[in-house]
This record gives sequence, C-alpha cells and structure tokens, in this order.
Amino acid sequence: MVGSSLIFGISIWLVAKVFVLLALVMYIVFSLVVIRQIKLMLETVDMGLNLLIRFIGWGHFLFAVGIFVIALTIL
Amino acid sequence: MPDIFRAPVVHKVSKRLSIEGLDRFSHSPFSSFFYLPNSVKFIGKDSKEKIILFLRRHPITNIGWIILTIILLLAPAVLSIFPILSFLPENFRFIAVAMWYMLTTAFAFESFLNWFFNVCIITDERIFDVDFLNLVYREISEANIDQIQDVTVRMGGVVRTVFNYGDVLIQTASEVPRIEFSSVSRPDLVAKVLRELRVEEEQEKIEGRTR
Repeated sequence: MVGSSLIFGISIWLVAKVFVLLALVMYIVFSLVVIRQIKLMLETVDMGLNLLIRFIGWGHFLFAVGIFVIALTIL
Repeated sequence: MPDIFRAPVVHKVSKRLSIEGLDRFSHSPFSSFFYLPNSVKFIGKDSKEKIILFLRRHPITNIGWIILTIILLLAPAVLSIFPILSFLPENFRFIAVAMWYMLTTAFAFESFLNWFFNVCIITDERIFDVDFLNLVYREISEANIDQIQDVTVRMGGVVRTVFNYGDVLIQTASEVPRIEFSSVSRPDLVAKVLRELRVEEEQEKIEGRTR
C-alpha cells in the first residue's frame, strides 16, 4: 500500500479502504435482499427448479461475503 | 329415506384443447410456451384447477441483457490494455476488478430472474399475469375465463414478426379491466386457446358443469 499519500495525517488509502468495505457491506445486504426476493418468487410460482435458483442466490451471497473478507485482508 | 333426486356429481372435464400443434412445444422449465405443464404450481391455485398454458416473454427479448453482460465480462480484460487503474495500488486494483465482476453477476442474475418469474398463466378457470416490478414487489392480475370480453393480438416490427412473438391484450369484466401478456411466443395461438376456453366455459355454464 502507498503509505506516503497523507491528508491531515490520514492515509488516503485507509479512507479508500473504509469506503470499499462500506460498499461491500451494502452489496452483502443487497445479496440478502436477492435471497428474500427469490423466496418470494418461488412462493409465487414453483417450476421445479427451486433448488438450483436458491443455490445460485446463496452462491451470489457467499461470493459477496468472500470478496468482503478478501478486501478486509489485503487492503 | 330414499332419494327422490340425486344431483349429478360435478366434475370439470380435464381440458385438452383440440388445437393442433400445441403438444409439440418444449416441456423444459425454461420454455417460453409450455402447454399443460404438470410440474408448475402457483400461489392461489385450486387443487382441481389445471394449467393449460404457461407463458413467459420470448427468449429473444433477453438478447439485450445477454450482450451487455458479455461486454461487461470482457471489459476488464480489454481495459487492462489501457492504464486506467494504474494509479491504484495492486491490491485495490484486484478488489476493483472483483467488484466489477460482482456487479456484473448481480445484473445478469437479476435480469434472468426478471425474465424467468414474470409469467402469464392460463388455467381452465382463470388467467393470471404475474409481474415482479422490483426486488420485493409483486403484482398478480387475475380474471376468470368467463369474464374475458375481448382478446387483441398485437404484433409489429421486424424482430417480432421473424421470431413470432407479440402482446396479447385481454379486456375483462373483472376488477382489472385489462390484462396484458407482453412479448409472448405465438400470440395468435394464445388467443386461439383463450377463445376455445371461453367457448368451453359457455358450454359448461349451459350444461351446469361450472365449479
């Protein structure tokens, strides 16, 4: 990380990290809403593909959590 | 005490329409024109109600978001030629690309869900139009078959004519005055099915077989 870029004694990359993590938290919330949406959709119409669609929804959520953990670690 | 009169047991005849060519359509869950789907259930379905047609938008209507998804997926590779993100440290660059793919995944998945779950259902008793307008809001319009007053098929444009899809506008006497099946495959066949169901419903009313 470039440590020399300071504004009022605070590294801009630290600020950037906080913003990135906030954005990723918001994305995780969004992926939870998608799971809720899938539940609502499957309650409305059931076409025998419930498992696959639920799996994709949870996969998407885990992907978002994974990126958050990686960002927390490497930034 | 002996029965003086015993009403006949009323059973709705399992409808199988006499329209030619309905059986040849795909029975895949991803099909946009599904005749007599046995595996499909929907909210508020009566146990004796039988789904005649299950429709969703023609697959060609997905071409826009599919092309956009491919462009979005290829963009980081193409843009890596130009040093746009070169001012960022390596770790930030990696997270930026990962977030880009994450947003692309969300866009593609949402577009797919929007196509897959916005469906139109014609049963032997009712018609349904299921619309998911945003993430958690759904709208279900329904009308009984005998409340259908007029069916209009709207087709136009080169793409719609080539791929044989269009809108079916249904005027009803129910609380929802108009139900629209948008961009469905073979709209003329859908209108024909509705006409036949209406005739059959009238016949059932005359014979006293209505549920």
